[in-house]
Amino acid sequence: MKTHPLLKIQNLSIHYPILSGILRRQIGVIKAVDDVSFEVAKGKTVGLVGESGSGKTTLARSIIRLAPLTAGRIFYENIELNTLSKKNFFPFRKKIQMVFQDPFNSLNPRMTIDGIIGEPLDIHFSLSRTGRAKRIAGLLDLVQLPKNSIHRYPHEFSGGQRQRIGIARALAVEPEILLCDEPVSALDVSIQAQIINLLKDLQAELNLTYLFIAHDMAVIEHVSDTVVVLNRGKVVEQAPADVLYKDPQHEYTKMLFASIL
Amino acid sequence: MQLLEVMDLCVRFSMRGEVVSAVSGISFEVAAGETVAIVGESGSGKSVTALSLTRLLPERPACEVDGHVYYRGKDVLTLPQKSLQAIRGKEIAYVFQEPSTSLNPVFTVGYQIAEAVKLHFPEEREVRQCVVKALKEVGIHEAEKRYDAYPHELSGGMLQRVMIAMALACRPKILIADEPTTALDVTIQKQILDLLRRLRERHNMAIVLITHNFSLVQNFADRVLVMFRGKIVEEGSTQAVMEHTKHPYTKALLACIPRLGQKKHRLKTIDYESL
Ligand SMILES: Nc1ncnc2c1ncn2[C@@H]1O[C@H](COP(=O)(O)OP(=O)(O)OP(=O)(O)O)[C@@H](O)[C@H]1O
Ligand SMILES: Nc1ncnc2c1ncn2[C@@H]1O[C@H](COP(=O)(O)OP(=O)(O)OP(=O)(O)O)[C@@H](O)[C@H]1O
Ligand SMILES: [Mg+2]
Ligand SMILES: [Mg+2]
Repeated sequence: MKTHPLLKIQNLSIHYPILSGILRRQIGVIKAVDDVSFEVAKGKTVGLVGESGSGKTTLARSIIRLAPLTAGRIFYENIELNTLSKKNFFPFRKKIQMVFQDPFNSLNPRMTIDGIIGEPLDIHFSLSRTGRAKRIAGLLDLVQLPKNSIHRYPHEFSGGQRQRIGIARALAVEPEILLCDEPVSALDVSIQAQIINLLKDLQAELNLTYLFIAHDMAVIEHVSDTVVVLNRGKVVEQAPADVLYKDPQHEYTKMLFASIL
Repeated sequence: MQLLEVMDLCVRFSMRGEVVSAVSGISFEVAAGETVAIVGESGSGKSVTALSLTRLLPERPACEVDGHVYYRGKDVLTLPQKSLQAIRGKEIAYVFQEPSTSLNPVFTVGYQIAEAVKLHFPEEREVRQCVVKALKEVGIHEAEKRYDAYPHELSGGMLQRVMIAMALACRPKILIADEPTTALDVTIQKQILDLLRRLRERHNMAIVLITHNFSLVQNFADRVLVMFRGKIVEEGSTQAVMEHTKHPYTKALLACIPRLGQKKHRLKTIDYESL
Protein backbone atom coordinates (compact mmCIF):
# COMPACT_ATOMS: atom_id res chain seq x y z
CA MET A 1 0.00 0.00 0.00
CA LYS A 2 1.21 3.46 -0.81
CA THR A 3 1.81 5.58 2.28
CA HIS A 4 0.19 9.00 2.28
CA PRO A 5 2.53 11.94 2.12
CA LEU A 6 2.34 14.08 5.22
CA LEU A 7 3.74 17.05 3.37
CA LYS A 8 3.40 17.67 -0.33
CA ILE A 9 5.11 20.51 -2.16
CA GLN A 10 3.58 21.09 -5.59
CA ASN A 11 5.11 23.28 -8.30
CA LEU A 12 6.32 25.75 -5.72
CA SER A 13 7.96 28.97 -6.89
CA ILE A 14 9.22 31.86 -4.81
CA HIS A 15 10.64 34.85 -6.66
CA TYR A 16 12.23 37.99 -5.26
CA PRO A 17 12.91 41.21 -7.15
CA ILE A 18 16.55 42.31 -7.38
CA LEU A 19 16.55 45.99 -6.46
CA SER A 20 19.37 48.39 -7.08
CA GLY A 21 20.50 51.91 -6.23
CA ILE A 22 19.00 54.48 -3.89
CA LEU A 23 15.69 54.38 -5.73
CA ARG A 24 15.57 50.59 -5.38
CA ARG A 25 14.88 50.13 -9.07
CA GLN A 26 14.15 46.54 -10.07
CA ILE A 27 16.97 45.20 -12.23
CA GLY A 28 16.12 41.51 -12.20
CA VAL A 29 14.42 38.60 -10.51
CA ILE A 30 15.83 35.92 -8.22
CA LYS A 31 14.06 32.64 -8.66
CA ALA A 32 14.89 31.47 -5.15
CA VAL A 33 12.57 28.48 -5.57
CA ASP A 34 11.63 27.55 -9.11
CA ASP A 35 8.87 25.03 -9.76
CA VAL A 36 9.80 22.59 -7.01
CA SER A 37 7.75 19.47 -6.25
CA PHE A 38 8.36 16.67 -3.76
CA GLU A 39 6.67 14.77 -0.98
CA VAL A 40 7.58 13.81 2.56
CA ALA A 41 6.00 10.58 3.80
CA LYS A 42 4.83 10.33 7.39
CA GLY A 43 7.53 9.06 9.73
CA LYS A 44 10.25 9.50 7.12
CA THR A 45 13.07 11.93 6.51
CA VAL A 46 13.71 13.87 3.35
CA GLY A 47 17.21 15.31 3.12
CA LEU A 48 17.47 18.56 1.20
CA VAL A 49 20.90 19.42 -0.17
CA GLY A 50 22.19 21.88 -2.70
CA GLU A 51 24.41 24.79 -3.44
CA SER A 52 24.57 27.67 -1.00
CA GLY A 53 21.86 30.07 -2.14
CA SER A 54 19.87 27.41 -3.97
CA GLY A 55 16.62 28.05 -2.10
CA LYS A 56 16.62 25.48 0.72
CA THR A 57 15.91 27.90 3.55
CA THR A 58 13.38 29.87 1.53
CA LEU A 59 11.49 26.68 0.73
CA ALA A 60 11.37 25.53 4.35
CA ARG A 61 10.34 28.98 5.58
CA SER A 62 7.51 29.17 3.07
CA ILE A 63 5.90 26.10 4.64
CA ILE A 64 5.37 28.02 7.88
CA ARG A 65 4.45 31.21 6.05
CA LEU A 66 7.70 33.07 6.56
CA ALA A 67 8.27 33.46 2.82
CA PRO A 68 5.50 34.43 0.37
CA LEU A 69 4.69 32.01 -2.46
CA THR A 70 4.84 33.25 -6.02
CA ALA A 71 3.14 30.13 -7.32
CA GLY A 72 2.41 26.56 -6.30
CA ARG A 73 0.69 24.73 -3.47
CA ILE A 74 1.65 23.18 -0.15
CA PHE A 75 -0.41 20.32 1.25
CA TYR A 76 -0.39 18.87 4.75
CA GLU A 77 -2.36 15.64 4.94
CA ASN A 78 -4.38 16.79 1.92
CA ILE A 79 -5.18 20.17 3.45
CA GLU A 80 -3.92 23.00 1.32
CA LEU A 81 -1.93 25.14 3.74
CA ASN A 82 -1.31 28.21 1.66
CA THR A 83 -5.01 29.07 1.23
CA LEU A 84 -5.92 28.72 4.91
CA SER A 85 -6.96 31.74 6.93
CA LYS A 86 -4.69 32.81 9.76
CA LYS A 87 -7.09 31.25 12.23
CA ASN A 88 -7.31 27.94 10.42
CA PHE A 89 -3.54 27.84 10.08
CA PHE A 90 -3.06 28.13 13.85
CA PRO A 91 -3.09 24.38 14.65
CA PHE A 92 -0.31 23.91 12.11
CA ARG A 93 1.86 26.32 14.06
CA LYS A 94 2.11 23.54 16.61
CA LYS A 95 2.27 20.57 14.25
CA ILE A 96 5.01 22.07 12.09
CA GLN A 97 8.11 23.33 13.86
CA MET A 98 11.28 24.74 12.41
CA VAL A 99 14.87 24.70 13.65
CA PHE A 100 16.35 27.81 12.09
CA GLN A 101 19.69 28.03 10.31
CA ASP A 102 20.70 31.18 12.15
CA PRO A 103 20.12 30.50 15.84
CA PHE A 104 21.08 33.98 16.95
CA ASN A 105 18.52 35.74 14.78
CA SER A 106 15.74 33.37 15.68
CA LEU A 107 16.02 33.70 19.47
CA ASN A 108 14.56 36.74 21.18
CA PRO A 109 17.60 38.46 22.77
CA ARG A 110 15.53 39.91 25.61
CA MET A 111 14.11 36.58 26.76
CA THR A 112 15.78 34.06 29.01
CA ILE A 113 15.87 30.45 27.93
CA ASP A 114 12.97 29.77 30.25
CA GLY A 115 10.88 32.22 28.24
CA ILE A 116 12.16 31.10 24.87
CA ILE A 117 11.34 27.44 25.39
CA GLY A 118 8.34 28.16 27.62
CA GLU A 119 6.59 30.54 25.23
CA PRO A 120 5.40 27.96 22.71
CA LEU A 121 4.40 25.73 25.64
CA ASP A 122 2.25 28.53 27.06
CA ILE A 123 0.61 29.11 23.70
CA HIS A 124 -0.24 25.53 22.87
CA PHE A 125 -0.59 23.74 26.23
CA SER A 126 -1.97 24.56 29.63
CA LEU A 127 0.63 23.18 32.01
CA SER A 128 0.91 23.63 35.75
CA ARG A 129 3.87 25.63 36.94
CA THR A 130 5.79 22.54 38.01
CA GLY A 131 4.73 20.65 34.90
CA ARG A 132 6.08 23.45 32.75
CA ALA A 133 9.37 23.64 34.67
CA LYS A 134 9.79 19.89 34.50
CA ARG A 135 9.19 19.88 30.78
CA ILE A 136 11.72 22.64 30.12
CA ALA A 137 14.31 20.91 32.29
CA GLY A 138 13.69 17.68 30.39
CA LEU A 139 14.16 19.42 27.04
CA LEU A 140 17.42 21.06 28.15
CA ASP A 141 18.64 17.68 29.25
CA LEU A 142 17.74 16.14 25.88
CA VAL A 143 19.93 18.66 24.06
CA GLN A 144 22.75 18.46 26.64
CA LEU A 145 22.46 21.94 28.09
CA PRO A 146 23.04 22.44 31.82
CA LYS A 147 20.00 22.95 34.05
CA ASN A 148 21.11 26.41 35.16
CA SER A 149 20.78 27.60 31.57
CA ILE A 150 17.16 28.62 32.08
CA HIS A 151 17.95 32.02 33.55
CA ARG A 152 20.49 32.94 30.91
CA TYR A 153 20.02 35.02 27.76
CA PRO A 154 20.85 33.86 24.21
CA HIS A 155 24.02 35.97 23.91
CA GLU A 156 25.45 34.22 26.96
CA PHE A 157 25.79 30.94 25.08
CA SER A 158 28.15 29.56 22.47
CA GLY A 159 27.03 29.14 18.86
CA GLY A 160 26.42 25.44 19.27
CA GLN A 161 24.59 25.93 22.56
CA ARG A 162 22.27 28.43 20.86
CA GLN A 163 21.61 25.95 18.09
CA ARG A 164 20.57 23.41 20.71
CA ILE A 165 18.22 25.94 22.33
CA GLY A 166 16.51 26.22 18.94
CA ILE A 167 16.15 22.44 18.77
CA ALA A 168 14.73 22.27 22.31
CA ARG A 169 12.21 24.98 21.47
CA ALA A 170 11.09 23.22 18.30
CA LEU A 171 10.65 19.92 20.15
CA ALA A 172 8.82 21.56 23.08
CA VAL A 173 5.33 21.47 21.58
CA GLU A 174 5.48 17.88 20.32
CA PRO A 175 5.35 18.65 16.61
CA GLU A 176 4.46 16.12 13.92
CA ILE A 177 7.00 17.41 11.47
CA LEU A 178 10.27 19.20 12.06
CA LEU A 179 11.81 21.44 9.41
CA CYS A 180 15.49 21.31 10.34
CA ASP A 181 17.62 23.93 8.60
CA GLU A 182 21.27 23.02 9.24
CA PRO A 183 20.37 21.91 12.78
CA VAL A 184 23.75 20.43 13.67
CA SER A 185 26.17 22.61 11.70
CA ALA A 186 27.55 24.37 14.80
CA LEU A 187 27.97 21.25 16.92
CA ASP A 188 31.08 19.22 17.55
CA VAL A 189 30.84 15.73 16.10
CA SER A 190 30.04 14.14 19.46
CA ILE A 191 27.12 16.42 20.28
CA GLN A 192 26.08 16.29 16.64
CA ALA A 193 25.92 12.52 16.94
CA GLN A 194 23.87 12.75 20.14
CA ILE A 195 21.37 15.12 18.52
CA ILE A 196 21.07 12.96 15.41
CA ASN A 197 20.57 9.85 17.51
CA LEU A 198 17.98 11.75 19.55
CA LEU A 199 16.09 12.79 16.42
CA LYS A 200 16.15 9.21 15.15
CA ASP A 201 14.94 7.86 18.50
CA LEU A 202 12.09 10.36 18.52
CA GLN A 203 11.23 9.35 14.99
CA ALA A 204 11.11 5.68 15.94
CA GLU A 205 9.06 6.37 19.07
CA LEU A 206 6.65 9.03 17.88
CA ASN A 207 6.68 8.56 14.12
CA LEU A 208 8.04 12.07 13.64
CA THR A 209 8.66 13.35 10.14
CA TYR A 210 11.67 15.44 9.14
CA LEU A 211 12.67 17.75 6.35
CA PHE A 212 16.41 17.92 6.96
CA ILE A 213 18.63 20.53 5.33
CA ALA A 214 22.39 20.04 5.64
CA HIS A 215 25.61 20.46 3.75
CA ASP A 216 27.38 17.51 5.33
CA MET A 217 26.82 14.65 2.89
CA ALA A 218 27.63 12.00 5.52
CA VAL A 219 25.03 13.45 7.89
CA ILE A 220 22.45 13.57 5.07
CA GLU A 221 23.15 9.97 4.18
CA HIS A 222 22.78 8.97 7.79
CA VAL A 223 19.40 10.58 8.40
CA SER A 224 17.61 10.52 5.04
CA ASP A 225 15.22 8.06 3.45
CA THR A 226 14.96 10.23 0.37
CA VAL A 227 17.28 12.97 -0.84
CA VAL A 228 16.24 15.99 -2.89
CA VAL A 229 19.04 17.92 -4.61
CA LEU A 230 18.42 21.58 -5.38
CA ASN A 231 20.47 23.78 -7.67
CA ARG A 232 19.62 27.41 -8.39
CA GLY A 233 16.07 26.95 -7.15
CA LYS A 234 15.31 23.82 -9.15
CA VAL A 235 15.20 20.16 -8.15
CA VAL A 236 17.90 18.54 -10.25
CA GLU A 237 17.57 15.08 -8.75
CA GLN A 238 15.51 13.22 -6.17
CA ALA A 239 15.90 9.61 -5.22
CA PRO A 240 15.98 7.18 -2.30
CA ALA A 241 19.13 7.92 -0.32
CA ASP A 242 20.87 4.61 -1.01
CA VAL A 243 20.22 4.94 -4.75
CA LEU A 244 21.43 8.53 -4.91
CA TYR A 245 24.59 7.80 -2.97
CA LYS A 246 25.40 4.74 -5.04
CA ASP A 247 24.60 6.14 -8.42
CA PRO A 248 24.14 9.91 -8.67
CA GLN A 249 22.67 10.90 -12.03
CA HIS A 250 22.83 14.66 -12.37
CA GLU A 251 26.06 16.53 -13.07
CA TYR A 252 25.60 18.76 -10.04
CA THR A 253 25.09 15.81 -7.69
CA LYS A 254 28.19 14.14 -9.10
CA MET A 255 30.13 17.34 -8.56
CA LEU A 256 28.89 17.47 -4.95
CA PHE A 257 30.29 14.03 -4.27
CA ALA A 258 33.52 14.85 -6.07
CA SER A 259 34.05 17.95 -3.89
CA ILE A 260 33.82 16.18 -0.55
CA LEU A 261 37.14 16.68 1.20
CA MET B 1 59.37 37.34 17.52
CA GLN B 2 56.22 35.37 16.87
CA LEU B 3 53.34 37.01 14.95
CA LEU B 4 50.86 36.07 17.66
CA GLU B 5 51.61 34.71 21.08
CA VAL B 6 48.90 33.92 23.59
CA MET B 7 50.02 33.34 27.17
CA ASP B 8 47.93 32.04 30.06
CA LEU B 9 44.72 33.46 28.69
CA CYS B 10 41.81 33.26 31.14
CA VAL B 11 38.28 34.48 30.51
CA ARG B 12 35.52 34.55 33.10
CA PHE B 13 31.95 35.78 32.74
CA SER B 14 29.89 37.09 35.63
CA MET B 15 26.17 36.66 35.20
CA ARG B 16 23.87 37.85 37.96
CA GLY B 17 26.26 36.79 40.69
CA GLU B 18 27.27 33.55 39.01
CA VAL B 19 30.81 33.31 37.64
CA VAL B 20 31.49 31.06 34.66
CA SER B 21 35.01 30.30 33.57
CA ALA B 22 35.04 30.04 29.77
CA VAL B 23 38.79 29.87 29.12
CA SER B 24 41.17 28.64 31.83
CA GLY B 25 44.79 29.42 31.13
CA ILE B 26 45.58 28.59 27.53
CA SER B 27 48.78 29.39 25.64
CA PHE B 28 49.61 29.05 21.96
CA GLU B 29 51.49 30.72 19.13
CA VAL B 30 50.74 31.48 15.51
CA ALA B 31 53.53 32.18 13.01
CA ALA B 32 53.18 34.23 9.84
CA GLY B 33 51.79 32.14 6.98
CA GLU B 34 50.77 29.37 9.33
CA THR B 35 47.29 27.88 9.66
CA VAL B 36 46.32 26.80 13.15
CA ALA B 37 43.03 24.98 13.66
CA ILE B 38 41.14 25.08 16.94
CA VAL B 39 38.75 22.18 17.38
CA GLY B 40 36.83 20.89 20.37
CA GLU B 41 33.65 20.59 22.29
CA SER B 42 30.75 22.94 21.69
CA GLY B 43 31.01 25.50 24.51
CA SER B 44 34.68 24.78 25.24
CA GLY B 45 35.79 28.38 24.70
CA LYS B 46 36.89 28.52 21.06
CA SER B 47 34.90 31.59 20.04
CA VAL B 48 35.63 33.33 23.33
CA THR B 49 39.35 32.78 22.73
CA ALA B 50 39.03 34.21 19.23
CA LEU B 51 37.17 37.29 20.43
CA SER B 52 39.63 37.98 23.22
CA LEU B 53 42.50 38.26 20.72
CA THR B 54 41.43 41.80 19.82
CA ARG B 55 39.40 42.54 22.95
CA LEU B 56 35.98 42.08 21.41
CA LEU B 57 34.44 40.59 24.55
CA PRO B 58 32.11 42.56 26.86
CA GLU B 59 33.79 45.00 29.27
CA ARG B 60 34.40 44.44 32.94
CA PRO B 61 32.70 43.53 35.23
CA ALA B 62 30.61 41.34 32.91
CA CYS B 63 33.78 39.73 31.62
CA GLU B 64 37.30 39.42 33.05
CA VAL B 65 40.23 38.64 30.76
CA ASP B 66 43.65 37.79 32.20
CA GLY B 67 46.92 36.79 30.61
CA HIS B 68 48.69 38.17 27.55
CA VAL B 69 48.01 38.33 23.84
CA TYR B 70 51.15 39.51 22.06
CA TYR B 71 50.70 40.67 18.49
CA ARG B 72 54.15 41.40 17.04
CA GLY B 73 55.45 41.74 20.58
CA LYS B 74 52.82 44.19 21.80
CA ASP B 75 50.29 43.06 24.38
CA VAL B 76 46.87 43.63 22.82
CA LEU B 77 45.17 43.28 26.20
CA THR B 78 46.80 46.45 27.55
CA LEU B 79 47.08 48.44 24.32
CA PRO B 80 45.47 51.91 24.23
CA GLN B 81 42.17 52.05 22.31
CA LYS B 82 43.73 53.90 19.38
CA SER B 83 46.47 51.40 18.65
CA LEU B 84 43.94 48.63 19.12
CA GLN B 85 41.70 50.13 16.43
CA ALA B 86 44.64 50.12 14.04
CA ILE B 87 45.08 46.38 14.53
CA ARG B 88 41.42 45.35 14.43
CA GLY B 89 40.23 44.70 10.92
CA LYS B 90 43.40 45.82 9.22
CA GLU B 91 45.94 43.48 10.77
CA ILE B 92 43.66 40.94 12.38
CA ALA B 93 40.37 40.32 10.58
CA TYR B 94 37.47 38.11 11.56
CA VAL B 95 34.92 35.87 10.00
CA PHE B 96 32.47 35.51 12.86
CA GLN B 97 30.58 32.34 13.68
CA GLU B 98 27.21 34.03 13.19
CA PRO B 99 27.55 36.44 10.24
CA SER B 100 24.21 38.10 10.86
CA THR B 101 25.51 39.45 14.17
CA SER B 102 28.37 41.34 12.59
CA LEU B 103 26.90 42.69 9.36
CA ASN B 104 24.87 45.86 9.67
CA PRO B 105 21.26 45.17 8.66
CA VAL B 106 20.62 48.70 7.38
CA PHE B 107 23.45 48.84 4.83
CA THR B 108 23.79 46.88 1.62
CA VAL B 109 26.47 44.20 1.57
CA GLY B 110 28.27 45.96 -1.31
CA TYR B 111 28.42 49.16 0.70
CA GLN B 112 29.82 47.35 3.72
CA ILE B 113 32.58 45.65 1.76
CA ALA B 114 33.32 48.96 0.00
CA GLU B 115 33.79 50.65 3.38
CA ALA B 116 36.34 48.02 4.32
CA VAL B 117 38.16 48.51 1.02
CA LYS B 118 38.19 52.33 1.37
CA LEU B 119 39.40 52.18 4.94
CA HIS B 120 42.40 50.12 4.03
CA PHE B 121 43.12 51.31 0.50
CA PRO B 122 42.21 55.03 0.57
CA GLU B 123 43.94 55.62 -2.78
CA GLU B 124 41.81 52.98 -4.55
CA ARG B 125 39.73 54.57 -7.37
CA GLU B 126 37.74 51.63 -8.59
CA VAL B 127 36.18 50.62 -5.28
CA ARG B 128 32.99 49.23 -6.81
CA GLN B 129 34.95 46.97 -9.17
CA CYS B 130 37.09 45.78 -6.26
CA VAL B 131 33.98 44.83 -4.33
CA VAL B 132 32.38 43.04 -7.27
CA LYS B 133 35.60 41.14 -7.83
CA ALA B 134 35.71 40.19 -4.15
CA LEU B 135 32.11 38.93 -4.31
CA LYS B 136 32.90 36.91 -7.42
CA GLU B 137 35.94 35.40 -5.74
CA VAL B 138 33.74 33.97 -3.01
CA GLY B 139 31.36 32.49 -5.56
CA ILE B 140 28.39 34.89 -5.44
CA HIS B 141 26.50 34.50 -8.73
CA GLU B 142 25.59 37.71 -10.59
CA ALA B 143 27.78 39.68 -8.20
CA GLU B 144 27.07 43.07 -9.86
CA LYS B 145 23.36 42.59 -9.30
CA ARG B 146 23.71 41.44 -5.69
CA TYR B 147 25.88 44.44 -4.72
CA ASP B 148 22.85 46.32 -3.43
CA ALA B 149 21.32 43.43 -1.50
CA TYR B 150 20.70 43.87 2.22
CA PRO B 151 21.97 41.15 4.56
CA HIS B 152 18.47 39.72 5.15
CA GLU B 153 18.09 39.18 1.41
CA LEU B 154 21.00 36.73 1.27
CA SER B 155 21.19 33.09 2.26
CA GLY B 156 23.16 31.89 5.30
CA GLY B 157 26.06 30.72 3.18
CA MET B 158 26.05 33.87 1.06
CA LEU B 159 26.34 35.97 4.23
CA GLN B 160 29.21 33.80 5.37
CA ARG B 161 30.94 34.47 2.05
CA VAL B 162 30.26 38.21 2.27
CA MET B 163 31.99 38.15 5.66
CA ILE B 164 34.93 36.32 4.15
CA ALA B 165 35.13 38.82 1.28
CA MET B 166 35.00 41.70 3.76
CA ALA B 167 37.70 40.25 5.98
CA LEU B 168 39.98 39.52 3.04
CA ALA B 169 39.45 42.96 1.50
CA CYS B 170 41.70 44.34 4.24
CA ARG B 171 44.56 41.98 3.39
CA PRO B 172 44.96 41.06 7.07
CA LYS B 173 48.11 39.53 8.54
CA ILE B 174 45.94 37.16 10.54
CA LEU B 175 42.53 35.88 9.51
CA ILE B 176 40.48 34.50 12.36
CA ALA B 177 37.79 32.36 10.83
CA ASP B 178 35.22 30.96 13.25
CA GLU B 179 33.31 28.14 11.55
CA PRO B 180 33.58 29.92 8.18
CA THR B 181 32.14 27.13 6.04
CA THR B 182 29.26 25.69 8.09
CA ALA B 183 26.67 27.06 5.65
CA LEU B 184 28.59 26.23 2.49
CA ASP B 185 28.06 23.24 0.26
CA VAL B 186 31.19 21.24 -0.47
CA THR B 187 31.70 22.71 -3.97
CA ILE B 188 31.74 26.29 -2.72
CA GLN B 189 33.74 25.29 0.33
CA LYS B 190 36.40 24.04 -2.05
CA GLN B 191 36.41 27.34 -3.93
CA ILE B 192 36.79 29.30 -0.68
CA LEU B 193 39.63 27.08 0.51
CA ASP B 194 41.47 27.61 -2.77
CA LEU B 195 41.07 31.35 -2.37
CA LEU B 196 42.43 31.22 1.18
CA ARG B 197 45.35 29.07 0.07
CA ARG B 198 46.29 31.61 -2.60
CA LEU B 199 46.22 34.48 -0.11
CA ARG B 200 48.12 32.46 2.43
CA GLU B 201 50.88 31.93 -0.10
CA ARG B 202 50.85 35.33 -1.76
CA HIS B 203 50.60 37.49 1.37
CA ASN B 204 51.94 35.11 3.98
CA MET B 205 48.63 35.46 5.81
CA ALA B 206 48.24 33.44 8.99
CA ILE B 207 44.90 31.74 9.61
CA VAL B 208 43.29 30.70 12.88
CA LEU B 209 40.56 28.31 11.83
CA ILE B 210 37.91 27.30 14.32
CA THR B 211 35.94 24.35 13.07
CA HIS B 212 34.09 21.14 13.87
CA ASN B 213 34.99 19.73 10.50
CA PHE B 214 37.92 17.32 10.69
CA SER B 215 38.30 16.86 6.95
CA LEU B 216 38.76 20.60 6.75
CA VAL B 217 41.42 20.44 9.46
CA GLN B 218 43.19 17.60 7.73
CA ASN B 219 43.21 19.34 4.37
CA PHE B 220 43.97 22.82 5.46
CA ALA B 221 45.70 23.24 8.82
CA ASP B 222 49.37 22.95 9.71
CA ARG B 223 48.74 22.57 13.41
CA VAL B 224 45.78 21.72 15.63
CA LEU B 225 44.77 22.75 19.13
CA VAL B 226 42.09 20.64 20.80
CA MET B 227 39.98 22.44 23.40
CA PHE B 228 37.92 20.79 26.09
CA ARG B 229 36.21 22.67 28.92
CA GLY B 230 38.25 25.84 28.60
CA LYS B 231 41.64 24.17 28.28
CA ILE B 232 43.88 23.04 25.46
CA VAL B 233 44.11 19.29 26.06
CA GLU B 234 46.16 18.39 23.01
CA GLU B 235 48.19 20.14 20.36
CA GLY B 236 50.59 19.32 17.60
CA SER B 237 51.00 19.09 13.87
CA THR B 238 47.80 18.08 12.12
CA GLN B 239 49.24 14.74 11.18
CA ALA B 240 50.46 13.98 14.70
CA VAL B 241 47.15 14.85 16.32
CA MET B 242 45.04 12.97 13.77
CA GLU B 243 47.21 9.89 13.51
CA HIS B 244 48.88 9.57 16.88
CA THR B 245 46.14 10.96 19.05
CA LYS B 246 47.13 11.17 22.71
CA HIS B 247 44.33 12.67 24.78
CA PRO B 248 41.27 10.52 25.52
CA TYR B 249 38.91 13.36 24.60
CA THR B 250 40.47 13.77 21.16
CA LYS B 251 40.36 10.02 20.60
CA ALA B 252 36.73 9.84 21.61
CA LEU B 253 35.88 12.86 19.46
CA LEU B 254 37.51 11.46 16.35
CA ALA B 255 35.49 8.26 16.78
CA CYS B 256 32.24 10.26 16.50
CA ILE B 257 32.81 11.56 12.97
CA PRO B 258 30.00 10.37 10.71
CA ARG B 259 31.38 8.72 7.58
CA LEU B 260 29.91 8.11 4.17
CA GLY B 261 28.56 4.62 3.68
CA GLN B 262 27.88 3.85 7.36
CA LYS B 263 24.19 4.52 7.29
CA LYS B 264 23.06 1.46 9.21
CA HIS B 265 24.92 2.18 12.42
CA ARG B 266 23.84 4.33 15.27
CA LEU B 267 26.33 7.19 15.55
CA LYS B 268 28.94 6.91 18.24
CA THR B 269 28.91 9.48 21.05
CA ILE B 270 31.22 10.32 23.93
CA ASP B 271 30.61 9.03 27.40
CA TYR B 272 31.75 12.13 29.26
CA GLU B 273 31.78 10.37 32.63
CA SER B 274 34.69 8.29 31.42
CA LEU B 275 36.91 11.31 30.68
N1 LIG C 1 13.91 38.15 1.59
C1 LIG C 1 14.62 37.98 0.46
N2 LIG C 1 14.72 38.97 -0.46
C2 LIG C 1 15.43 38.79 -1.59
N3 LIG C 1 16.11 37.67 -1.90
C3 LIG C 1 16.03 36.66 -1.04
C4 LIG C 1 15.31 36.75 0.19
N4 LIG C 1 15.44 35.58 0.86
C5 LIG C 1 16.23 34.79 0.09
N5 LIG C 1 16.59 35.43 -1.06
C6 LIG C 1 17.44 34.89 -2.13
O1 LIG C 1 16.96 33.64 -2.48
C7 LIG C 1 18.03 32.75 -2.81
C8 LIG C 1 17.91 31.49 -1.99
O2 LIG C 1 18.20 31.76 -0.63
P1 LIG C 1 18.09 30.64 0.51
O3 LIG C 1 18.35 31.32 1.80
O4 LIG C 1 16.83 29.92 0.38
O5 LIG C 1 19.32 29.69 0.11
P2 LIG C 1 19.87 28.37 0.84
O6 LIG C 1 19.75 27.26 -0.13
O7 LIG C 1 19.23 28.21 2.16
O8 LIG C 1 21.41 28.72 0.98
P3 LIG C 1 22.47 28.44 2.19
O9 LIG C 1 22.87 27.01 2.02
O10 LIG C 1 23.57 29.37 1.86
O11 LIG C 1 21.79 28.74 3.47
C9 LIG C 1 19.30 33.53 -2.59
O12 LIG C 1 19.77 34.04 -3.81
C10 LIG C 1 18.87 34.68 -1.69
O13 LIG C 1 19.67 35.80 -1.90
N1 LIG D 1 28.81 36.72 26.69
C1 LIG D 1 28.82 35.61 27.45
N2 LIG D 1 28.34 35.64 28.70
C2 LIG D 1 28.37 34.55 29.48
N3 LIG D 1 28.85 33.35 29.10
C3 LIG D 1 29.33 33.25 27.86
C4 LIG D 1 29.35 34.36 26.96
N4 LIG D 1 29.91 33.98 25.81
C5 LIG D 1 30.21 32.68 25.96
N5 LIG D 1 29.87 32.23 27.18
C6 LIG D 1 30.10 30.88 27.72
O1 LIG D 1 31.47 30.58 27.57
C7 LIG D 1 31.67 29.24 27.18
C8 LIG D 1 32.53 29.19 25.93
O2 LIG D 1 31.82 29.74 24.84
P1 LIG D 1 32.38 29.77 23.36
O3 LIG D 1 31.42 30.59 22.57
O4 LIG D 1 33.79 30.18 23.35
O5 LIG D 1 32.26 28.23 22.95
P2 LIG D 1 32.73 27.54 21.58
O6 LIG D 1 33.87 26.66 21.90
O7 LIG D 1 32.93 28.57 20.54
O8 LIG D 1 31.46 26.62 21.26
P3 LIG D 1 30.67 26.35 19.88
O9 LIG D 1 31.45 25.31 19.19
O10 LIG D 1 29.35 25.83 20.37
O11 LIG D 1 30.55 27.65 19.14
C9 LIG D 1 30.28 28.63 26.99
O12 LIG D 1 29.98 27.84 28.10
C10 LIG D 1 29.35 29.82 26.93
O13 LIG D 1 28.10 29.52 27.51
MG1 LIG E 1 19.94 28.36 4.09
MG1 LIG F 1 31.85 29.14 18.86
